[in-house]
This record gives sequence, C-alpha cells and structure tokens, in this order.
Amino acid sequence: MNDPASSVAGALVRKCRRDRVAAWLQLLPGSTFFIAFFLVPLLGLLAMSFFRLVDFEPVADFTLSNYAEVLTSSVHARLALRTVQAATIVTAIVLLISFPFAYTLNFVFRKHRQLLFFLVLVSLFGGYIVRIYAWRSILGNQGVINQGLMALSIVDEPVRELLNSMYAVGASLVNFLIPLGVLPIYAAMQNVSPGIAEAARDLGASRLRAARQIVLPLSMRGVRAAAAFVFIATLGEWVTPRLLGGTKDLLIGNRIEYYFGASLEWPAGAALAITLIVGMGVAAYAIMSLMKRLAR
Amino acid sequence: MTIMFNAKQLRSAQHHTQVEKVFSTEEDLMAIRGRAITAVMALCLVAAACGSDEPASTTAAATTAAPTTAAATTVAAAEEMGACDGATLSFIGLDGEAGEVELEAWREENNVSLETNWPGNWQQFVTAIKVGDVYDLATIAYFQAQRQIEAGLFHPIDTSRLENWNTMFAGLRENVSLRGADGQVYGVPIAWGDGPFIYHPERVANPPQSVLELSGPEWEGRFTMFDSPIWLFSMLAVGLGFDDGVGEKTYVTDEQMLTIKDEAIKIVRNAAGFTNGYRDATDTIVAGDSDLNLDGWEAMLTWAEEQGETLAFDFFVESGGGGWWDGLAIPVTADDIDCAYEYIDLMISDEINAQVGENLVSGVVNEVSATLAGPGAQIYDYDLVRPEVPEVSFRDQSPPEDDEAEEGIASFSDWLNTWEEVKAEL
Repeated sequence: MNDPASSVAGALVRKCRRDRVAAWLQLLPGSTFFIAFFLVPLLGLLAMSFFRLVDFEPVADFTLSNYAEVLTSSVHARLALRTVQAATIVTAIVLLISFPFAYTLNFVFRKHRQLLFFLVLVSLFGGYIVRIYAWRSILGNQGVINQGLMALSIVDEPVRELLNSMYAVGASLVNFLIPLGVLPIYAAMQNVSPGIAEAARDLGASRLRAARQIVLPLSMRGVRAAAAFVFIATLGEWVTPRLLGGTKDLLIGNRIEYYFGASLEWPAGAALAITLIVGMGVAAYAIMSLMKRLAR
Repeated sequence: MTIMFNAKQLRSAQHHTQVEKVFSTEEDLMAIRGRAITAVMALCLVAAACGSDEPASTTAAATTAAPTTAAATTVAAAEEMGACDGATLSFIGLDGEAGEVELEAWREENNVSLETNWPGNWQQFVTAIKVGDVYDLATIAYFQAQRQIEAGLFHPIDTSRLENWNTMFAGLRENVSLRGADGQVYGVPIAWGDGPFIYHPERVANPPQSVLELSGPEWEGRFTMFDSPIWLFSMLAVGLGFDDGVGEKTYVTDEQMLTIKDEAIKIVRNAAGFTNGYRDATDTIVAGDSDLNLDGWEAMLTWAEEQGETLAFDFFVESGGGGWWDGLAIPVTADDIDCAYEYIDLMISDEINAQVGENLVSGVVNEVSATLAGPGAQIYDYDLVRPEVPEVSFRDQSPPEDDEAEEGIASFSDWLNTWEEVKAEL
C-alpha cells in the first residue's frame, strides 16, 4: 500500500500539472491569433523595410537605404513633430476629460454607474467613418455650430476654419478616444475603495484634493494605460486627418499611407512604419515614466 | 523605379462607380482603424512594441506576393464569337466598367456568369494580378496604362478580333496611350472624358481663368483638390509657361520645379482640404463647405442635381483640363481569353456602349453610340475625339519616369518628393 501522504502529494503534483497544461491551452487561441495576425505580419513588415525596390517589385536585397531615407527626410521630421504635438494634445485632453468622468462614475454616481458605463460603451458602437462624417456636418459651413453662431448673430458668415482644420481632427479624435481613456481609468478605480476617498474627505480634504492626492496615485496604472492607448492610437492616425483635416494637417500616418498607396514604395513605407513603431514604444515608455514620476 | 498610382493618374476614378469604391475604401479604413485599435490594445496587454497594423497586413500580402513579372505575351489565335457560352468571366477593376448592367441580358441569354472584383486600391490591383490570381478582364485606365503595361499585367490586344474596333473614334483608336513600348495595343477604351473644374455658379461669379488665380486671398478656404501633384504641377507648368501642354509628358527642369513648388504651396495652402473622391467633392460643394473642386468630373453636376443644387464646369484657359479614357484589358492571368475578346467587343458595340456612356456619365467611343446615348453621355463634345489626333489632350500629364528623365529634368520621383515637401511646408 502507498503511503497516504505521498498519494496526496502525487495527486497534488498531477493536479498542478493539469492546471499548468490547462493554463497553456487557455493561452493557445489568443497566442496563436496574436502570433499569426500580428507578430508574423510585423516581422514581415520588418523584413520588407530592408528590401530594395527594383522595377516595381520589392526585392529581398538587404539595404539600409530605406531607413536612411526615413531618418534624414526633413518632410518626415516635420510630419513627425506635427504628429507628436497632435498626439500629446489629444492625450492630454482625453485624460482631462476621462479621469473626472471615471471618478464621477465610480465615486459620485455609484448607483447609476452601470448605466453611465454603458453609455460610454455605447459611444464605441458608433461607426468610425460615420462619426467623422457627423463631425463634418457639425463643423461645416451649414453645420450646427455655424448655424447656431449665425442665428445668435455672433458671426455674420460661417466660420470656415472649424472644418478642414486641426481643430476638427482633434475634436473627432478626442470624441473617438474618450472611451479608450475612460475604460482603463475606470477599471483601475474599481480597486480603490470609496471608503478611502471618503476618509480623506472626512479628514478635511476637498473632493478635488482627495481625487488628486488619493485616488489619482492609486489609479495611476489605469491612467498610464489610458495615456498609452490614446497617444499611440493618435500617433498612427491617418484617416481622420485625411477626412477632417485641411491640406496643412496631414500626419506621419498619412506619409505611411502614401508610401503604401500612392507611391507603392513599400520598403520605404515599411521602414517608416517600423520607425514609428519603435518611436511609439519609446514614447509610451517615456509617458509612463513621466506619469510615474508625477504620481510620486 | 517605382509604381506611383496617385490620384491624378487614377483618373479613371472619374466615374461614379469609382467614387463608390472610394467610399468602400473608407469602410475598409474603418475596419483598418478598428484593427489598429485592437492592435494597440494587444500591444499594451502583452507589453510588446506596437503600431498600426495596416502596413503590417499590407506587408504580409506583399511578402507573400511573389513577383511574377511576366512579360506580356501575344495572345494565341482565338476562336470565333460564341466563345462565351456557359463561361464564367472574372473581372478585376472599377465597378460599373464590366458591363454589369449593360450586358446582363446577354449574359443570361448565353448562360455567362460575371464575377467582379475590386481589391480596394490600385496597388492591390497590381498585386492581385502579379500573384497570379485568375482574371479574364481588367480595367485599364489612361493615366496608369503605361505603368500597367510596363509592369506586364496585360496581354496585347489583337484588334482584328474586335469587330467594333474600326468604328471607334480615331482619336481614341489611334491614341498612343493605348499602346506599349512595343507598339501593340493593350487596352480597349470603353469610355472617355475631359478634366474640368467644377464650381457652384451662385457662389463663384467669375470662375478662375488660370490655376494661378487660386493662390489669391479671395480663394482662401474655398476649394478642394486631390492629394496628388500630377494634375496641379502639370497645370502650373503650363500656366507658368514652362511647358506647352501638348507633349506626351510634362517636362520641367529642376529649377522650374522650385518655382512650381512655391506656387503649389500657395495654392495648396489656400485649399480647404483634400477631397476623397468625386462624390465627396460634390457633397462638399453642395454642403457649402467649398465652392469649387479642381480636377473634377461632369458627373458631379448630375449628383448635385439629385440634391437640388446646380453646379457648373469650366476649363482653365491656358491649360485646358486634359482628357482621360478607361478601357478593358486582358490580364496575363486570363483563363478564358476567347470569351474576354467577345465581351470586350460587345462593350464597344453601338448600343451597349451607348448604355455604358450613359451609366458612367462619360463619353462613348463610337459615332453610332454617340447618337444613341442619353444626356449623361451627350454632355461631351465628340469633335474632340473624331480626329486621329484628338483635340482633347489625352497626353499623359505626368513627368518622365526616373529612368527616362534626362539630366536636369524633374522625374516622377522628383515630383512626388516635391509634393510631399509642399504638404510638409504648409
């Protein structure tokens, strides 16, 4: 007969192994999908960035010239600067809107938070292009804002600068990205006990101070994630500037689109895309570090 | 050398069908955007590097797209008409240019199936044929015909197999733009048109006479244009007296290009925005967000009429508007060449082509069709294409290719780079 203790130990080991196998199996679909449809194409993109373009065809002939072109182009430098500026401003605005919203959701209107949370999600349901065209209707010469301003005799003629401008691009992006800002912050705030904020208020802190000194540091992980989502999404943006921006408002994403579309210089486009990806990684790291420091 | 199918070259986009494709593309963009967001989220979850996956997925296609630069080969002798009985034809190209409507009855009669495909953009169009996907028919568009031919996408056309070839307007039939460097015909025009600017007559009392006028303060924020240098630079080259506007291509020196760039900056800075298609440009004018669209298409007048607005078109005095044609070609991957010939011949036959012109709001390609066609096709002046040397300029407004440009002459890449500089300096 086996020793009962060793039987139990053996059973535990077997259960442990089964759990581990189950865990790996659970990871399998997601990992496979991720590898097949993200990592492999990304590696393809990386490989393409070293290709040479010969007679219309990208040829697997190792060259660094695409990166040289990407990194030395003054056009890219200007577009990159414009893009980073836009992404920074959009991220800041989204965070300034999202944090109070999530705070209110979690600490003020707790009874209705499911409904409010649902409303945030509902805004994600709207089609991306539909929204952009809606903004065109809102900001256009015959749009709601211009008609309102004229009805109130604030202006005599429509303000043309509302549409086809960086304002329009920014407004649309903020509108689209707010849910991506709210969701991670709200999720992080779920881990902050309302009692802590109440205790701070009981001890004399204003609601603003409690939010800034108690809730913000405790939900900083969500804020950082939100910042990363919004910043990175804006950095890669090219549809919104194309449809809502003016001729002066194209971003670096439009340059990538140009390489892959109009000019068919895929290797150069791949090099720019990879550079942007690396840049995004660096930028995301910098943002997170900065926010970590600010939270201290 | 690079393939650069820019908006101007894609002049065939002057069809409502293409505009609809533009909107389809926008839907695609929406999906792409969604994937980009998903990718971003995935990035954060796995703490991996990340970015838009659009180029990545494109590249995936590209990396699997093994180059198959097949030299165009002469199509073997074909059988007589009737080759299509029970056939399935696969078409790649612009929606509305495959005789979907016009030949529907004929297809039913002959038990012919037609599969139409549009891969989303011209880059994918090239890729689809290059990777060997089977298509029996394809769109060949004037402003990219030479590049498509040079890329070895199409079989040469044996015009003796087309009964209706000789009735085609000489200005189209004899046009060099249908021919490759080997002198053979590669495309059969099914529609043509000119290149006006479109404006709202109530808001534009005095249409511009020259493209150079658009840099003036009175035009600030009042017009839209395509995001492409070809049309604008070519117009500027003529407007500034650098090019006479009659050669096969637009030749300007590197020095002249600097002047063109300066003028282009002023004009593009004045533009309200880049338009995303002809339908979009129409809507923008109708909505009052612009008064004029450069490089337009007469069909925009029809679309505006449907919305209760009357638009007008005109041409710049010194440079005209240029012309375009769209046609059918037989891809090198074609499976049923005999049927393809029969189908093309039908598309340029009198009655069918009259319908094609009407449906595409484009010029028809032969005399009888011109008399049969409805008002959408009657808007065009057929005297322009009757002479062997057409009066409408079907010249390729684009600059010489990089390997064709002589020392000191701005090449295609120079134009594109200058265009990017223009946009970056605004």
